[in-house]
Amino acid sequence: MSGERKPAYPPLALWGVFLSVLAGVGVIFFGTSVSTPALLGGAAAFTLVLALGLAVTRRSVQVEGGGADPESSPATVWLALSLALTMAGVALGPWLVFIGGGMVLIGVGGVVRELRAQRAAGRGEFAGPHPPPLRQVEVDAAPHAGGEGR
Amino acid sequence: MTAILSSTDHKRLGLLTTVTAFCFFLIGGSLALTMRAELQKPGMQFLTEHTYNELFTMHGSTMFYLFAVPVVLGVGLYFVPLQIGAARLLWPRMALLGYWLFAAGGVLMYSGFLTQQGAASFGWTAYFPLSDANATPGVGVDFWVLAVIMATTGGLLQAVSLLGTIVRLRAPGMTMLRMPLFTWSELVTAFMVITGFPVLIVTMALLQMDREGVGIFSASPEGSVTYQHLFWFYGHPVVYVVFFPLVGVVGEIIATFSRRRFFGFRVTVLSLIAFSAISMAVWGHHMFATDQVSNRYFSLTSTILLVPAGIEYFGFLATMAGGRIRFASPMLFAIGFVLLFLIGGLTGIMVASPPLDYHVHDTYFVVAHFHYTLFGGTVFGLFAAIHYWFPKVTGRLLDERLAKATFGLLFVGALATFIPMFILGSEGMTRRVADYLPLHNWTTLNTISTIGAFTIALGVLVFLVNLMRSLRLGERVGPDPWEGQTLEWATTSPPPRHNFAALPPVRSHTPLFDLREEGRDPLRELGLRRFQSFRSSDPQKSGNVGEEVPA
Repeated sequence: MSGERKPAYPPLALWGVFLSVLAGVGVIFFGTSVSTPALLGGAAAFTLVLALGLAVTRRSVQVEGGGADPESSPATVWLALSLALTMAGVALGPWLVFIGGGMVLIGVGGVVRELRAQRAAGRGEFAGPHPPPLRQVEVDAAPHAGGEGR
Repeated sequence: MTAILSSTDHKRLGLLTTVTAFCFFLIGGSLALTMRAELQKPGMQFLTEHTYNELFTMHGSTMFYLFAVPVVLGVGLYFVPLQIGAARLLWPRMALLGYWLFAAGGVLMYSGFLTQQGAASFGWTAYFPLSDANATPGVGVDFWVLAVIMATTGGLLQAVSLLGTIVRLRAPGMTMLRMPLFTWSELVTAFMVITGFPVLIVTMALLQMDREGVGIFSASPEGSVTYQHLFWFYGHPVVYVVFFPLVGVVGEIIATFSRRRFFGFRVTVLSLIAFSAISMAVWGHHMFATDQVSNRYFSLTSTILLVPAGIEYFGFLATMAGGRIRFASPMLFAIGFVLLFLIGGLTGIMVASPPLDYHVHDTYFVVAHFHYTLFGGTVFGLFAAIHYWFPKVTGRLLDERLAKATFGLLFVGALATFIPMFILGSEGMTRRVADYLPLHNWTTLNTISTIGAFTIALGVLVFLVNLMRSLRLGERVGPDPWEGQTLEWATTSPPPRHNFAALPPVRSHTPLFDLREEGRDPLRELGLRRFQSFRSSDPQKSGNVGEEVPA
């Protein structure tokens, strides 16, 4: 099932433009203040770069109707809890940072192992069972009268 | 249980996040009740000043970091893929990692109560130097700072996963302007999260370093103002992060229960983008009293917010004005959202004016204002969402009488709790203070506020009873009990693992409504009619519980 490929970057770009305008207007008011234009201008620049990245890579609508995820990822849970322990170690002492750090390594290894198992299972990104193919209700292809074009 | 807790299915993950966040809401709410009981009359009743400081800090922290942000992202994780016709979430491991960081952050934050010097006690904003190691020493405070980093990182990861899903996994035909209002609101929310949240994460890391003895904010006299800049660059947009998704939900509920498309959809989408962008440029209004920001600029941007907000309100009202309204419980909560948030919005315009802000700064007026935005906005919006989507998630309806009782108690409770605070604040009662003098004659207003808070608690209790009862005994419904307009209603309730067996054509933001308008039955077209056997889908007959519809 192929879909219309419509880009996703315009909203982000528009948002970045809004932020740029707000930062630009601020120049009149900010004077010698650094924090305000730096934060606002930085956010605008970050957003515009991200939008540009999306536009260049043309990452957009999926071509296939769907895919299958791994059903679960215990390694990710392990990794998260290890990170939490490591963070708690910042307050409780280096001994916990070391224990947590070791557990993080094990967690990362687990996630990598899961990802490799997915690849080994073949057919792209997903290891789990693929969903049944989507059926689409047949209609006249013209945009609906009450609808929005793009 | 292990499979549920480590599931990468967006529905399980969304539900897990939402339920966990709601549990934190109950805990944070109980802290608020304790404070209101203490404040009911002058004199210290049963708390010490330090305990009171811990309570308001943990109440605010819980409601922002552990309830409001996770809950709107959790609802998004469940429903955004369904609304855009996707079978899954992009980068599900990232979202799962986000959930566990948030949950572990919550546990760590509350672990502060178990430490010798107690939990954090400097307010949810952790203003510097009140939050430095001299003013508030102790491991519990360190836990708080680290927990905020973890919970915020968790939210960031989930938002990135949502953003990627919207960008990459929309169904064929689902162009950006055909996405439903809720998905749009989650998209602009994700924009705010990816720009605002990293700033808080870095700020908290710097604060912790400062607490460890590295001179960061303490290195210069301007450090405290720099801290405020960095904090509020996250802290104001987050108010909209926890509000926008619920604007989307309420818009869809109003359209569905008015039996028409949302009025001015494109303009509303544009207003959402503008609203969220402007909300990134208003943080300085929290700092008017410091005299270290451009009050003129931030007053201007804060007041301009009224324009996109007005457009959205106009959309709500115009949709209802031309519709045939059904006053079912989701619609009541949606109307409650519109009314209560209006109070918060209008008083927000008042405090956007520096002279008025100077008068009410750090008083209960501000407390009342933001509770109308957060309780009226986030909580009423969330209850609207729960009552609207409960049948989709569980396949059962919530009991309508109990739902209406919940609405009544919450609405009356919200008015009784927070209206007196406007008066108290205007008269000079400062926030974050455990006691007040009897000679101020504030006892009556405080008593009304306390009664209101317990009325809200009763409303939440009725809701929990309804939830428990309906999970087992609620009326079974089919895929589309409300005659919904968007794709989540084009699958069974609850949806299967990969969400859809068939999709209707997507030619607008209301694909199911389009089919109905053409005189076609969406459920029959999608092969779902056999599931819709317990409740009439005829709008004229809706409410005829248990009526059989011929397959």
